[in-house]
Amino acid sequence: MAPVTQLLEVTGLSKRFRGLRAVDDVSFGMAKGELFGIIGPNGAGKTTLFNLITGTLSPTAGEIRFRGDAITGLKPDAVARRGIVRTFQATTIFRDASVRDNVRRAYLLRTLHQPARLTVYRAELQAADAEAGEILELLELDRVSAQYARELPYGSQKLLGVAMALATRPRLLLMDEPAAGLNPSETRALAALFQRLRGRGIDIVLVEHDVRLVMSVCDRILVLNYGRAIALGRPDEIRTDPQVIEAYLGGADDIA
Amino acid sequence: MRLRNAALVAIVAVAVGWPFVVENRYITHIGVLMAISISTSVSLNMMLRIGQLSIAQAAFMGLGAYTSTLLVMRLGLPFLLAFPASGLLVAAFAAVIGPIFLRVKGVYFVLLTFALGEGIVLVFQEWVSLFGGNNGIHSIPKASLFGMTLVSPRSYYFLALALAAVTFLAAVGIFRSAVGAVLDSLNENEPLSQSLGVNPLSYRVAVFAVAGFFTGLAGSVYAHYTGFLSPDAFTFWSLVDMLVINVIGGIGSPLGPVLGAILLVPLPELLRDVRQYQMLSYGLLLLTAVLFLPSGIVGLLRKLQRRWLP
Repeated sequence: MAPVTQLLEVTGLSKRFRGLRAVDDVSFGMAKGELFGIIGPNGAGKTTLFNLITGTLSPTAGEIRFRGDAITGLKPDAVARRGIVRTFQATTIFRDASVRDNVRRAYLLRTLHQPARLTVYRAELQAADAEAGEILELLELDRVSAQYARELPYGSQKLLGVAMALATRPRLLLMDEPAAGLNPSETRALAALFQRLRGRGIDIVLVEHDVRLVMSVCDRILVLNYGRAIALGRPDEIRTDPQVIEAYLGGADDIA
Repeated sequence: MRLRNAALVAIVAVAVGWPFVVENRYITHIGVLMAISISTSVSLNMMLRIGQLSIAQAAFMGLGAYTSTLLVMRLGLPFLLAFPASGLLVAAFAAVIGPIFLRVKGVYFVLLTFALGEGIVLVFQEWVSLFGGNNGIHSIPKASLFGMTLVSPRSYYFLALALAAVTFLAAVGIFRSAVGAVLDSLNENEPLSQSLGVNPLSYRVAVFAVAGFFTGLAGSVYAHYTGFLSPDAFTFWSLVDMLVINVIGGIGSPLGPVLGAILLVPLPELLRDVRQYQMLSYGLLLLTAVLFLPSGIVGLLRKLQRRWLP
């Protein structure tokens, strides 16, 4: 394969919790412009791998590079400032703030990432407002922007989490099971959203339980099982990989 | 809005005017203690707002008090320099130890700052040649500002009142600003805030330093006002006073500790005749507040405001 500019490069990444190898010598590279999926059965190490990349956990061994720079062991906020921003599996929002204020706060948290100054300039606040409006429109949350975040239905709360991540202007969006708990029509809307985000030049890593969704939207997929990478390739390659079928034993229907 | 401005004018008029009406040295003395207490309690309130109860605040006041005293007595600095220096020194101290101490949260931070406070007081007690040990330091020179020596309690009242006002306005300003929104976000959901790019530790250290700054300044005013320092003024029990002031006043707003100090500082004096029951009444008051006013006096006022001023 011709070498492509690697956006995210993971080499020999391992995380051990006492005896358990949650992530075991995983390597993969992701190119700019790719929609990359990570799947695997329950307990395969998907979330641990995710937490290693975002800096929530630090690896036992291995290296993570983003745009050529090593980001191994950086704290979550430092990783976010490099441009890798995550969304959470559960809905993680500021419940008692309005939808618009949630997005505005996300912008402020990124802008005022340390207390180097005490004021935010009016122009910046206006920029934050404009940005919030645009993002809410993109995610079709503009009609509920005045509501309290806690009043939104579950699916919209998850979308709000995405909106907040977008407000920090990420280069790479890491989404932890965005489809979990969504109904089929919400899931379809999510797939359409991925395409819109790509149109804006935002790359996505998708950690997902919904294999069907991943197969239909991702360019390449990494399959984990018991912490190890057992397959890496295009959806059609993954679908026919004997090891993957083995890992999803009894769940072959899910893959087809 | 007009009502609010009128109330504000009235409060300022009373705060500034009463020492001219009530010309009683003893009552003015209580006024000075009240104003100093507002500064320290509002500083503690800043820490409570970020969810970190610092037991070392009383010792920080001591650091400010001894710093100002020693700068004036040993180095002959004027009060005008020693006063800001005492605040800056405590702020710098907090900024240096903050990155280590504020890594831990909740009960661990409480215990760590308890040990720190006790350690600082121990240094005051044991380093006799510098801090005068348990005998303390006597005959601390009176503060002088612009060639004018502050002697009367009334002049100290105005100094302490100015400090209390600045501390209060700083706390209100910080928490109403965009920085306040960041602090509230961190308090509400730190993992989420951090995932969006904010560095939580740097904000906690900044608040710790600002709270230390005003506490140090309050210590300086206290030292030059009383003219006498001893380590036992800065122990754990002084911190308990600041904490009770916050809880009874309400920790959700800087106004809470202001009201708490106005109510509680005169209390030991009012209960002087029944001294043996002083701690008991203190305890009963606290119990009542915790049970019936969970958001303190401020919470009660808000409730009344909603009912009577729609």
